[in-house]
Amino acid sequence: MFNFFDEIKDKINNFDSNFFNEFNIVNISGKFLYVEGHCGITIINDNYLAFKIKGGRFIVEGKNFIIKELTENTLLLQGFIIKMEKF
Amino acid sequence: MKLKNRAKIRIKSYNQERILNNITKKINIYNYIKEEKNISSFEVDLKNQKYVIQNLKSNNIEIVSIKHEGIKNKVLKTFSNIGLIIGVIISILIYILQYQFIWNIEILGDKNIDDKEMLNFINSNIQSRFKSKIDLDKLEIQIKDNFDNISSVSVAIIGQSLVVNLNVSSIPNEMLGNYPAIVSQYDCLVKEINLIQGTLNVKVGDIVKKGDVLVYPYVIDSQGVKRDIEPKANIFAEVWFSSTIKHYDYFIEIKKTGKSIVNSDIQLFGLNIYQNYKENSFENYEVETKTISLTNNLILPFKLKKTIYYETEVIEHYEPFEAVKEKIIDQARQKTLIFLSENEIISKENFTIKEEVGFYTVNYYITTYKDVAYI
Repeated sequence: MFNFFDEIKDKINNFDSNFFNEFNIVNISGKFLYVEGHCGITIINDNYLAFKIKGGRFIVEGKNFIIKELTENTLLLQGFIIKMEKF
Repeated sequence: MKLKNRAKIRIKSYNQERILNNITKKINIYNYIKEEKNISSFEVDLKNQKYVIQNLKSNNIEIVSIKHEGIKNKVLKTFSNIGLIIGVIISILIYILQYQFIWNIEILGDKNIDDKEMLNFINSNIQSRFKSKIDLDKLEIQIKDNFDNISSVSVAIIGQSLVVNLNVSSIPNEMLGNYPAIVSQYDCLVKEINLIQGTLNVKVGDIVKKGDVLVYPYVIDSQGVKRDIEPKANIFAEVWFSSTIKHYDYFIEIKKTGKSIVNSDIQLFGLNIYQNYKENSFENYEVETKTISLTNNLILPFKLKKTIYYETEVIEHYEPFEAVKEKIIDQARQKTLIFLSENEIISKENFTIKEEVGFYTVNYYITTYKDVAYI
């Protein structure tokens, strides 16, 4: 899977790169959600996704969820994304 | 159709998230969908299918189905279809078998030969439609022997066609013995004759009219036998052309001035139902009448009758012949020259002037010297 966060890291030289090492999430028009740095899925169903991140958990609510691609620490979610919360 | 080679696995289990996390430690998972509470499906690369199945089994996960997708799978599936393979093999065998036969006979070349007759002849003389059984050389000889007017023939097998290429022999005119006589195209006076072959019908000094025979297409040999031959000769003669122009010293010309008056009548069954008349103020005029149908049906045949009055003027011309004599003679000459061919040599020119009652007639004559037997 592509990793455009590396591009951002290159552009923000003075930024603490440790922030990037935790987790990164990109919501694309509420139709796709790209997650980098997850530590495993905890719940997945048609309208709910929960996954662990470093130092917490993250939940996504919506409709018609399909995980287009899932690797050890990245995922690409497709569906109608309504809400995202970090605990 | 999906092009990527993947295995779509449906599983039935609770706590699937744990399995997913476990599998994704080593491989990627695509298009994960939770179909029901405990049933879900996902795709993995075909090369990772074995690893995933082992992993699922070791975790006591029930595999509902495994479906393969992608171009590689489609190709393998197609070639593993025995019915299709048998069909392809049978088709190839049928093609190879039928390729050994001639299905079509094509006749090329001169179309003076009756194609149907030739086809019947070929069909009756080839032993078989099987390519290897057809003796092409023998067939060529047979065609040449049986058709007199064929000068050469070639027979070849191209694809599944037997192609027969014919050349018809052309018989020279001398062998046909049917020649037209040389006929004079002009009224003329024969001056010189150079006969090459044929029988002369004229002699030097003869006056020949257009259409008269100059040389007949035959000779009488020493045995007294009449033999046909193409007539050839050079017959030089004086050929004359003439034209006439009449000149009137005085004549009246009636000319339209360009002014006109139009009166209209609309008629039904010959009765005038509408009139549009203007007063005719012309002293001299010509009248022209036109009737046009206004409708195309016979029930109410309306007609428009137009009467046109053209104003005319009378112009009197007086031109004495002596004043324009040279001009008239030149006009007569130009009129005569039209009959001559290009680059024709003029041997003599003269004219006559005849005075008649009220007018003069100029006749112009041009005499040329040419080969009247030249076709």
